[in-house]
Amino acid sequence: MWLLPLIAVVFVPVVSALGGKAREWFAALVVLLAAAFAVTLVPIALSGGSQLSMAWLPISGFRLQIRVDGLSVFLALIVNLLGFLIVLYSQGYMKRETGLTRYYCLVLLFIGSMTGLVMAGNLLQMYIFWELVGICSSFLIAFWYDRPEAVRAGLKAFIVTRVGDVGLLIGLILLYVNTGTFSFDALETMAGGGKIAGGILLASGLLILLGAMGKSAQFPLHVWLPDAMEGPTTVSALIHAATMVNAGVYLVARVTPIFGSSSIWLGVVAWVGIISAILGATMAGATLDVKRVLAYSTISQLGLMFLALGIGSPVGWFASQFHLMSQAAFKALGFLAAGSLIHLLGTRDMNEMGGLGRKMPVTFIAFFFSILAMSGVPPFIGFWSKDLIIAELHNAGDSTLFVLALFVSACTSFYAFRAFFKVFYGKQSDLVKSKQIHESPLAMAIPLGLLSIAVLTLWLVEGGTSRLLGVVEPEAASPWIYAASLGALLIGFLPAYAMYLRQSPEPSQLVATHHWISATRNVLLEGYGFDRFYDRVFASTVTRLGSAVRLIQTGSLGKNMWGILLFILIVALVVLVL
Amino acid sequence: MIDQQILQLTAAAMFFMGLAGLATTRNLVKAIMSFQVVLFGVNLALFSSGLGPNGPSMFSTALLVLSISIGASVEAFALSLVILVYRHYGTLNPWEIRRLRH
Amino acid sequence: MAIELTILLSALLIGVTLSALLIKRLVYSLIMLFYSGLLLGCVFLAYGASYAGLFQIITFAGAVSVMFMVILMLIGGEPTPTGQRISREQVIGLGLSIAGFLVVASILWQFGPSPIPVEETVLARQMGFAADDPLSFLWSLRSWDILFLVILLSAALAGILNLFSKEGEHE
Repeated sequence: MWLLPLIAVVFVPVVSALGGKAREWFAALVVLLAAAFAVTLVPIALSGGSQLSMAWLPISGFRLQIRVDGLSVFLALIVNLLGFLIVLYSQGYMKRETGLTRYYCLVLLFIGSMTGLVMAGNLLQMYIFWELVGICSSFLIAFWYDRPEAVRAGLKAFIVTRVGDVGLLIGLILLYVNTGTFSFDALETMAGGGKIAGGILLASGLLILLGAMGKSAQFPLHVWLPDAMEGPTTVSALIHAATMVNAGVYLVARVTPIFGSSSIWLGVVAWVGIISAILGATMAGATLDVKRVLAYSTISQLGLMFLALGIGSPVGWFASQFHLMSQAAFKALGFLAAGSLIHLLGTRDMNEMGGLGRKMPVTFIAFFFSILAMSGVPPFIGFWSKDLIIAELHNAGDSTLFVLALFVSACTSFYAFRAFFKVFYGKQSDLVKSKQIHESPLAMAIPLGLLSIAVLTLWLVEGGTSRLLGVVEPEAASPWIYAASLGALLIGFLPAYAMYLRQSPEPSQLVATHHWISATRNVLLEGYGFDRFYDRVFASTVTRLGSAVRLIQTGSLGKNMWGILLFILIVALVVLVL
Repeated sequence: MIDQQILQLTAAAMFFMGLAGLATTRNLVKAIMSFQVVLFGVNLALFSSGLGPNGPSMFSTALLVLSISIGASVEAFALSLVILVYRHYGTLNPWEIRRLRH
Repeated sequence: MAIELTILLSALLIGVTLSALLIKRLVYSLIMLFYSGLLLGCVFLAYGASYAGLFQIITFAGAVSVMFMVILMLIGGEPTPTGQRISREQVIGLGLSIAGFLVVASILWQFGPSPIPVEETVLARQMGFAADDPLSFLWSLRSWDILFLVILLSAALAGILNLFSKEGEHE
């Protein structure tokens, strides 16, 4: 049942023969059923969880293990519910597109493999779904394959996550060779009993972390996520806000019981997190593409999740998962709202938007709620989840990370409100005036509405979530913490308010007059030069190697036969001699 | 089992004759014929490895039949490709057919 | 099997094949290839592997040769222009193969006859399932399995047909 979307993939082309409408309803229905099934799994998870284990390849001893515990069901719920909302939204957004059969196939395949990923009971099975998810993501990013930027972005996503995947694979195998098992349960008991050597533990832990970093776009493998915005917005919402990038966080959360005893590992996790958070938050403040703002924001929020996991305490673990849920909700909302804008205006450039507040009320409220949640304004869920992380940081006593997290918080509210003010306030740009502005169709508005309500009220389920995840419900932090984080919020909000709403001082003026501001802005727009570095060091090396190998590839039959004959000769000589 | 050795030597000879033909021929149809000769060598080797005092074993005969059928199908496919190549390039000389886009 | 028969057959085989490769006119070359296949079938028959021998004659000396003839009719079996000298690349190819043959022949000569291979112990126990948990009934109900697979495959087939039938349209 959990694999229902996967199976349904095959049926999509069949159904599409019945016509476009049937296809869309079929996809939505499938995901809804999967979500319903995930809900029915909640009682099992609450009662301590269970594991379904089947003999898969009896010769090799690998087993098919479906693990139903708090974490899996939690993520399966998020994936399927958000998937359903996004499939519903796609009906409106992708209305005039061609190639929709391919789209729905890929989306269903994606949701199915993501569910399989979170419900896998052993590392190998999870790795299989991990790869599936990566491939679907690349195909969906390059959905409009006649656009070269989209194809390039899809390839880039695939290659960068591949680097992480290789690390994951090596870490897996290392662990297997030393422990003889892939299963999470067995690994946890072994690690608890101290049966895994410290060096092996650290090495495989870091390699597995590399995989998570690739998938969740953390430093230094974060370069694919901003470019991945070339795909359709629903794809961005699904993959890059709600589900795939959470796979990395899920992996780290899942293996924390195994590797959590090593404080070096925890430290690496935390620092990777905070560095990515700072990178993302600062880059989001300079970019002009509304989807890129959201993409950088995703990097930043995921960094906060990694940070929370790196604290090492159960409350930190819970905080990261709770923030995962809230990020999924408000980021998906943000992307969907942005999608509604893009669908209408046909552009992603924020400079060309403006003054849309009055004309698109639903989108306005949706985007507004998303921004509020992102910045951490109470009572939106972003406030509760982010503050939980910050409070836990304070409890753990690490003041550097605490201050840095507050800095990230300030930056977050700055870029969030900057985007909001640029899009919905101010003078109407020429583009806006030329188009007939109306609200989005119903299929798009319903998910927007539902998610807006969710973002406002999800804090109510904090207790239930903690029970589901098997963690003691955290107590409220001291008021000083709340004050500090709200203060950070204001520090970020005020410049944005001044510059982008009141237009005093005008941002372009600031850039022109103050040299250091424009210099910073250039650095940020370049993405700190990561892309250029990777291109110079890695991509060009590969291209040059390729040109060198080209020399062997003559096309003539005879010359190729030389190669074959030479090889046979050498092998026969070796056999003769030995 | 001296005849087994003789047969194996013949098989090796046929195999390498075929490979030499593939490497030196100037006609694509001759190349496919050399490929067939290679297959003869392989099948003979398969057969001769299974020779026992009471004749060939069941296992090797079964594998032999399988190999023959697979070889024949591959050759058929190759021949149809040769026709297409001839239509596209106008020549049958493998030393001249080097680029995919002509 | 008298050893002289083997030597005779092997020598004939090599000779015929060699001529098949060296003759310039394609039609004659093809006839020699046909004889080569026939001879190989006779080798199999001489050792009592009747099924294999007959099969070899039927396919190679039957079907494949006819196929070659048809191709030659389509393409036109003009002989390659005579008087072309042996080019340097051909010499290299020839040299490599002769060297390879010598090495392999010496290996074969050194190692002597190979032992009789292991007979029918097909690893049947690997086909069975280890029923070591209560849910193994899911796997032993092969009928459901196969039905499910059939449905899945036919859906896939229908989907592919559907996708490719709309070639002119936008999908």
